[in-house]
Amino acid sequence: MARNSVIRNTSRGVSSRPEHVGQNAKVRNGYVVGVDIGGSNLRVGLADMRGNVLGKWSASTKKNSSPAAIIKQICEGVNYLLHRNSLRHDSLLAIAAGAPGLTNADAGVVIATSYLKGWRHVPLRNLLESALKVPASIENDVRVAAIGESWRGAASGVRDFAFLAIGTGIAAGIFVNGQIVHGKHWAAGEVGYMLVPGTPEAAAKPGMPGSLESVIGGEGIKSQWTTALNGNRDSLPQNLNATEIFGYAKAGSPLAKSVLDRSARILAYAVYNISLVLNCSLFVLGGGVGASASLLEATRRVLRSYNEPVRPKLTLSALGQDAQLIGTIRLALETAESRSLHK
Amino acid sequence: MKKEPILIGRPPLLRHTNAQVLLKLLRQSGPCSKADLVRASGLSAPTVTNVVAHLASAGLVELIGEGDSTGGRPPDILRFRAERGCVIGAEITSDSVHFLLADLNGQELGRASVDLSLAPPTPPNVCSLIATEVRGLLREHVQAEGQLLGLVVGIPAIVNVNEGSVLSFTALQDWRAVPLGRMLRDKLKCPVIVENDTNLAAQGEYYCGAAQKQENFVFITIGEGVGAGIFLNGQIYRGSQWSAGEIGYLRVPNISREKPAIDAYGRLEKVLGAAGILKSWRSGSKGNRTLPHVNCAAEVLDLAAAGNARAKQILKQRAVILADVVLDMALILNPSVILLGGEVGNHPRLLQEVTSLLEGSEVPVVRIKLGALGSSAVLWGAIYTCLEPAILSLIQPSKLAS
Repeated sequence: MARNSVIRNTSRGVSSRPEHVGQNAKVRNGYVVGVDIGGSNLRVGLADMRGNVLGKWSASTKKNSSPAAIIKQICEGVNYLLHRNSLRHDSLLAIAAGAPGLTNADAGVVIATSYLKGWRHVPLRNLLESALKVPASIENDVRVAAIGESWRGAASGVRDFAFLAIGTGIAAGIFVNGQIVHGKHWAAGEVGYMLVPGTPEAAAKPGMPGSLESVIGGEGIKSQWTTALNGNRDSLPQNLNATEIFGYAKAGSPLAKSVLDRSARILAYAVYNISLVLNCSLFVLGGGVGASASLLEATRRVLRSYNEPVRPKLTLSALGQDAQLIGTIRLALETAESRSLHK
Repeated sequence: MKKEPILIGRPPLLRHTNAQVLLKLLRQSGPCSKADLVRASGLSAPTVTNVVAHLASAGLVELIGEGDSTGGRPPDILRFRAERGCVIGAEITSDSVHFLLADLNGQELGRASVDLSLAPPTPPNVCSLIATEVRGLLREHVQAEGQLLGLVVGIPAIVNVNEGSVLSFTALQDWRAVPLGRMLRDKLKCPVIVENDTNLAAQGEYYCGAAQKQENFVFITIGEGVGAGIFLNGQIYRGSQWSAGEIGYLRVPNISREKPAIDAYGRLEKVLGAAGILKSWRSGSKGNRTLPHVNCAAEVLDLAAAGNARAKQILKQRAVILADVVLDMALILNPSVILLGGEVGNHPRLLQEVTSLLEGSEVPVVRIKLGALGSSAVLWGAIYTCLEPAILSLIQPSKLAS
């Protein structure tokens, strides 16, 4: 129930019903756009009010892409998608974007990100609203991926879960009681810095990868591989990424398997610790490194071997690379509904 | 993003909601007139009159004579009757049960403690002890009219709060799947809530301690065991299987690997908890007559504060582990503050040591403070969580939800 609400017994109660019906009719006929802003890619998706995706558009971004340049690309994508679906611009009802960094969803500001140079306190929501003339929302990219998985993915119907994105960095999108957790300073789920046994214990320097991601983030696994190769007369190539290394592990390379097992051991610690704190029933693994079936299996094995009271359940992302985009579409739908009611 | 529910204005619900509003005003502002209530609530004068009559018939409000006239008839002054009922908080530990009795304003009326070592602390025995003590407290401190409206029991265990059942209790044997809520309700004929003790302590700090107005915070208790109470979005968060914050099993660097059974202490709490500290102290002091004798873990920390080298080393080891725990929790939850409590956790020297360790950390340093309620945090949490429902139970319209 709404806080501090005093109900008054007046006849005015729900008198605005006719307008609501009108609004809803418009809402049903409109369209929304979701945008996934990444460090190297920008993806735009157009959907109807049931969330059916009608089209996708993508472009590449650069580390030094300015907010204005990104907004321009987004507009280009939106116009392209509307045009291709023969839709007028005024049928667009809302837009939502996921940004790769610390994001204040209430204020609509990207506070900081290490993926796009110079992005500090960018009022992304306002920029989107003034460029596209529709209500906008923004959210951290890992949280929108969690929203996507909760809506139409591996966590559908699960009230308490964590979406663990393991790519270059590591972060968690956390749902409790069916609500996303932001934390006091929008930094909940920044688990890349977590300390678990087997990670470097010295504090990481600001701007450098955190303890956990320095071992099992994409670069961390690469450097595990380089270290493992050193002094080992293996005929395997020096320069492999995580997916390739895990592939060699599956194919039977003992060296690759040692890297996989170590990564699984460390990931298991992190998952286990988060599950003790949150007692969440499910972990969804996603991201370039996290979405690996070999890593999932190896981590499950480690967790089983703990033989402890808390048994976290692990599964792979069901939406894969689309998790963010689907999450932003969900957010755009909510934005369209809530803003049209408050007009 | 959140949808506001549509409030449907059926008369019983209306009156109930309005009664809640007026009670809150009366409790906050103290005695005042109807006109004051009309002004402060925004309700109409006839509505206020109507609701006040309803509250008076429930015994929650009374007229206490006339106030000063500002011209015209002097206003009737109303007051909230906190003596209309009372609530009791109880805290079960491994060796005793503590009680706190309060009126409907949350004013302390009395305290008591019973020793659990006199009879085997089986669930039926503990229930009998609690019932006897509760009746004694009521006889001693409460007038005939003051009805016991609620008992909240805190216990260092994983608790299914909906069912009032204790799933597993580390410190006492034979405490698995105990329907403690039902057992106590049968004996005392009053509403009973059973809750994890650390979750209650966190709520105590939220309502009347060091975490007031904090919507996202963590209360870490370190005493016999180690646990955390987690507040998220303004509510205590209990987890999918009631075990959120059971951090006694956390795997952080510097902890050895042993496999605990479900009803044993986790390895982290074995080291960090009071028993672990005492064990470290005593293992080092065997045959060493020069080391002072200590009775409890807090005394070891006192010795560290006083400069004893061995105690300082023990403290330092614990601080390193606790700093890792604090850091991991801060990363996962990003709370506005982390409070430390419990016999060990509440020691200023430990706080000082952990704070200085975290200052070198790469993460935005989380604020760490001591809890404000000390050893009474659980009891105050118990009282405050049941005050509101206790008062409302007196004016609950029947079949409100139907």
